[in-house]
Amino acid sequence: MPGPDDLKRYNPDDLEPYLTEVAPKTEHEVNFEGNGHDPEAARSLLGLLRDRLSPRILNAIEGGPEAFEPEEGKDGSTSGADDAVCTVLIGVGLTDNQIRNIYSAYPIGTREKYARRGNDYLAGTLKNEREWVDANGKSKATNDDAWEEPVPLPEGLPPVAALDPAMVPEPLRGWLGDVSERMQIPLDFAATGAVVVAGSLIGRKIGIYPKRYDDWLVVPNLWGALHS
Amino acid sequence: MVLPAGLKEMHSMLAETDAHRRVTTARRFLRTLYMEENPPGYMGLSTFEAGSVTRWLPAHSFSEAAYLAVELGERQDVYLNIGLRAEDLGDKRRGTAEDVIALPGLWADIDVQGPAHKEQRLPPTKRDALKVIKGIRLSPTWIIDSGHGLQPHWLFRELWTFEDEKERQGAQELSRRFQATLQARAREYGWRVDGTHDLARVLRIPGTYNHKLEPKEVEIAWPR
Repeated sequence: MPGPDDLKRYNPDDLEPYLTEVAPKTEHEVNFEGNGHDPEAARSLLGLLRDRLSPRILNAIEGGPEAFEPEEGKDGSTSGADDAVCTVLIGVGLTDNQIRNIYSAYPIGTREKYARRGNDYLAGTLKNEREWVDANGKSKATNDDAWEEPVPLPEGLPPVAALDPAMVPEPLRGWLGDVSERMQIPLDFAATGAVVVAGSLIGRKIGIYPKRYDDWLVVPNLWGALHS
Repeated sequence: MVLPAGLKEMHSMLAETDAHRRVTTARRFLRTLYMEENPPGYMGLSTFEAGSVTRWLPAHSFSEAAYLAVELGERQDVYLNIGLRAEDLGDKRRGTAEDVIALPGLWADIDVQGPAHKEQRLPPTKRDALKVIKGIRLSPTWIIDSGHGLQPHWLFRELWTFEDEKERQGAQELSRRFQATLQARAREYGWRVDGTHDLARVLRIPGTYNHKLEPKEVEIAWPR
């Protein structure tokens, strides 16, 4: 039997999408009382905010607490996800009702504990995080969650010298030239793989004595990588 | 069968070794099932040979429970009450779903056709039972071969300890719908799967024997 850590395990809510029978509304219904639950408004609001939220926070909202990736050393639990999301949403200026509405429409709030405990839990988190933001002036989730305006990426490619066929070992030259021509790829692509494979086949059978009359032997190891 | 003295001793040693192996299997099963060093409440081992008798042990007593299960299971069917209870309910009480305080996961009990079961509309083979299991498109944590059927478990990341009655009812409803999904899958093949969604359900323990017909060891069939 594999070790306990190698076995697949699930959150109860992970199983939900695979059930064919719909839950009765009285059971797993999210109870965000008095917040004017309006999924359409929540989606519109998140659409407007999309460019101002980092992928990390968007993932947590749209993928649920389990999709939250904490920064190194930060809290990765469900509560950590909520702390991060709430402080960022407060930081971008949303009211408690707007945040509740997002929680009632997206997996961040419709899975896990909010799905079971609803409004009281969220009210507590919002109160704590709003106090923290008021006292500290920014989100404690991360410094980079409020993104600056993006800077355009540099255009064009740096010049790369073409592989001179004369540099390809002579016994391989004709074959690799043929491969690259027929595949319509640069000679580099075929040659890199072939030369590295040849190096691995030769292994320790051939080495270099850098100093004549000395027993210092160097066996070359060859690595290769392609970027295109 | 009469064995010569030397062979008799060897036979006894081998039997002890086999019992030890099965205790290890049962202990690993229980420890992995409940995940935590100190799960809350009590786990119950039930037998029904001489009326319903349930032994309650603190839920962290994996070794004691494994020894007891293997010992009881030598001559009779022994079952684990998969849901933990808040207290020792006494030998005569198994308790009901309302007494369950924590659950390690969801499960199904898929019997297959054979002399051990009267029902004819069961999946013909264990391989066919796998088709039913695939009705949930998430791989189970493990599949127990109960001897005359399969018991897949989908374990939770952490023990689901209920904070209140509403949460317990939520778990009960999830379990019911989960098994309803598997039953619907079985119906597509013209087969029947018993509903075993009750949180007070008892399930077989790897390392013990299924004594229906010839004794068969209950094993973790997958993953090996």
